[in-house]
Amino acid sequence: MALISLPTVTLPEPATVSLAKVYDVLIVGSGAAGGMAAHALTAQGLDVLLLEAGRQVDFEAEVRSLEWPYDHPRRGKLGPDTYVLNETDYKRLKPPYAQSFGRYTNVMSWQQLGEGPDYTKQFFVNEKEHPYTGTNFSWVRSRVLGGKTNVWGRLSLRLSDYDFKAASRDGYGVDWPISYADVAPYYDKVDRLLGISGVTENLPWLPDSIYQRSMRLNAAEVHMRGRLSEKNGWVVTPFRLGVTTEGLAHNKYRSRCYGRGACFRRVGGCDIHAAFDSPTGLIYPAWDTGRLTVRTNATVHQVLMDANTGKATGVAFVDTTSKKSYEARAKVVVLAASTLESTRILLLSKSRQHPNGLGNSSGHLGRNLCEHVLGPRVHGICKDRVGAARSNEDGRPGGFYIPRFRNLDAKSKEKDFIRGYGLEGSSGQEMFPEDALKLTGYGQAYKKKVRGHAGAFIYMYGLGEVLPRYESRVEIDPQVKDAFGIPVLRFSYRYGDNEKKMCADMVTSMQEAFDASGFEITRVDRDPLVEGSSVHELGTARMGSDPKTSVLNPFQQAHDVKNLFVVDGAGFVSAACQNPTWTIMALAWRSCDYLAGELKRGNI
Amino acid sequence: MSGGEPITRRQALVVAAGAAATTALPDNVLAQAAKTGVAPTTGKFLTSRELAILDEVAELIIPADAQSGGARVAKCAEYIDARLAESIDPDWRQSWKDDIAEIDEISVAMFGRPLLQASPAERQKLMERISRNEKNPKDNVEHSFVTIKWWVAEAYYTSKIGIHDELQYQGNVYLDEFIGTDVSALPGGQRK
Repeated sequence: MALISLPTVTLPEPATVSLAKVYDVLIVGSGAAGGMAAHALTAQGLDVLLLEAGRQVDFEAEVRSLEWPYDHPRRGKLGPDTYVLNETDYKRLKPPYAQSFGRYTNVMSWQQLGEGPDYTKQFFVNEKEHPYTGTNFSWVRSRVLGGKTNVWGRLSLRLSDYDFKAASRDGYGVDWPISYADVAPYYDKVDRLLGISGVTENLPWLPDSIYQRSMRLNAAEVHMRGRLSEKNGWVVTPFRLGVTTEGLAHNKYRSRCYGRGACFRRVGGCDIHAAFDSPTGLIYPAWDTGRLTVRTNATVHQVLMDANTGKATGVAFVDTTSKKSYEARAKVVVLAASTLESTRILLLSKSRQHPNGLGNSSGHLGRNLCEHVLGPRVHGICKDRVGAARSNEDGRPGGFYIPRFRNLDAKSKEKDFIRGYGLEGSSGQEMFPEDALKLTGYGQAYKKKVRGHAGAFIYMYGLGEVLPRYESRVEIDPQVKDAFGIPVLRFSYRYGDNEKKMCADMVTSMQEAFDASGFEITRVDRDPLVEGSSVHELGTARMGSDPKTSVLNPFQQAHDVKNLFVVDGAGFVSAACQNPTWTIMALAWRSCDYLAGELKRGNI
Repeated sequence: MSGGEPITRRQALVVAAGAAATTALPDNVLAQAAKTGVAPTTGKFLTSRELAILDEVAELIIPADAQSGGARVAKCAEYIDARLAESIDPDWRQSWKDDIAEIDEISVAMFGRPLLQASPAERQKLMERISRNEKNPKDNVEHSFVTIKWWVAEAYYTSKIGIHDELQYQGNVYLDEFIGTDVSALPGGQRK
């Protein structure tokens, strides 16, 4: 049980929420984007209704961050009625994946393969109820208040004009219709509102944030930082974490970080909310304004339109529990249901005026799906640390990050691929000694080796940009429906040659980093994981200045419907190689400020 | 800035001490505990004999030593048996019976007697045989060893003995601040 007692908000029963009134703004989804929209719009004095498909989580009761594995009957693992899809399943089988596991009540995505999935099992959808079809894809979906922010990886990075103007630099694709200068003030606002820890590095291609106290690197990482700086000119910096290390005087729902560590168990999650999550960081404070109404268990499947005015009037949704249908009304509709769920709603909202889906006059809706490729990974041993005296090396929510170093200038230009990747990793003793499952042998020698390696372990993996391609798309499957009778998405998406060559280079770079640091390499994984494994789906309703080639304008407002906005990752023009959550929130805030202004001026 | 209700250093120390209290046993006590560990007698899914074989193989994989108890006192076999008992996958459950039988059969083939009747030296020879191709197992018994070892390691290093006594893990407690290593104080440290 957490020592720190924090206040919370108990949301009303769904059936008690008024659907009779016309709200100023209706938000669909409560994750990073939806939460930020709720914050930004209520701060502007607007009357907001937020619809979330899942339930509110009793976080402290469910996550129990400090519980030891041996205090759980299955050491944190899931019960026997649940099957968790693994990498082999994703590659060997075809979606819908759950159809191959009939004997199980629940089939969960790979996210539940971690050390403590039983604590977060309710956060993710049952694949049996939520199928999808098409090409192989690992689509991780969370349907609770706060969505994936309850369990996210916390790495919080800014994009730069190396990313926003990437097309101008290398000739591939199109530039974003905005530049870093447009977003920078909102990155600053997000930093101050939510708290971020990190070290200032002054890298033009990875702008710094306004940091609270940084987490520390462990000894092997400090050693590597020195060696790679000297030999390669690469930077090894502590994870830039969406975690408040100094506290937030303006937020009573979140504690500062107390270095309890073990943050990679439980599939993430922090029961004192030092790590950002949307409910405590955004939604509860918005609730306190008195201008936010939240209805949980509301699965939205259509944007309702007035054929005469060409404007959205609200949404249709299904109550997740009763399966009854309802409608809710507002002057403006903001979709923030996650990249692909927002696009799914738009594709489902077709009508005589919008025969190919709402906002799809360009034909780009559902297309240009992009994300991050990962899979290449190197494990090793820092020999100097073998058998070293025990200390606490696990009191932090993230390890180290090596920012992109490829294709930044003429010197770093690669002939085999465009764009770049970052390297993430960690070292030192974690609660479970990962080498125990890798070291060969048995008996005293094996036991002693695991003991010696426990604080000497280091690993690293790459996260690279997947190029947006017109042919990379989702569309509505005409045959298959989910448990609520809503047609599902069909994927047509595969990595291309650029991603494969980038992955090969990741392996080379990581081996180079280990060699330069004098680390012994014990394992090398070379292959990309199945498509979708980054859980960073982006694009499919990209923004742009030209309505003929984009779905949204630079403020994520639909070109075709002026009172419709999509503020999650769907608007991304390209994925860059940085983890997207901080950018999603900065863009959502910027778009909602614009929305509020336009609404007040009577332009919407 | 500050947020929430900050805990005092003393409160943090109490929590840390509470965690440590479960582990701070003298070496002689630990050694005695390791020695007195006894094999389980009744399985929830496995037969008594199967459970005893599994328990013995587990202890051969992670034995007791001066630092800590082994797989037997950490009750690794019982943990695996409990997981099997609740499983709804008949193929997986049967595979464990087969794996255990494979090991007993190779003991008979090698020494003319089942594992539990084999001498300590014979048991070590058996372990050498079944683990010889661990990275690329060639036959059934070698596959059996890989499966059993994975589960024993998982069970042992998530047990109280594995986490605290053996690995002396010090995290999962409240700290005023995680110290790690100060980057700025070292060569190649923080860039200005």
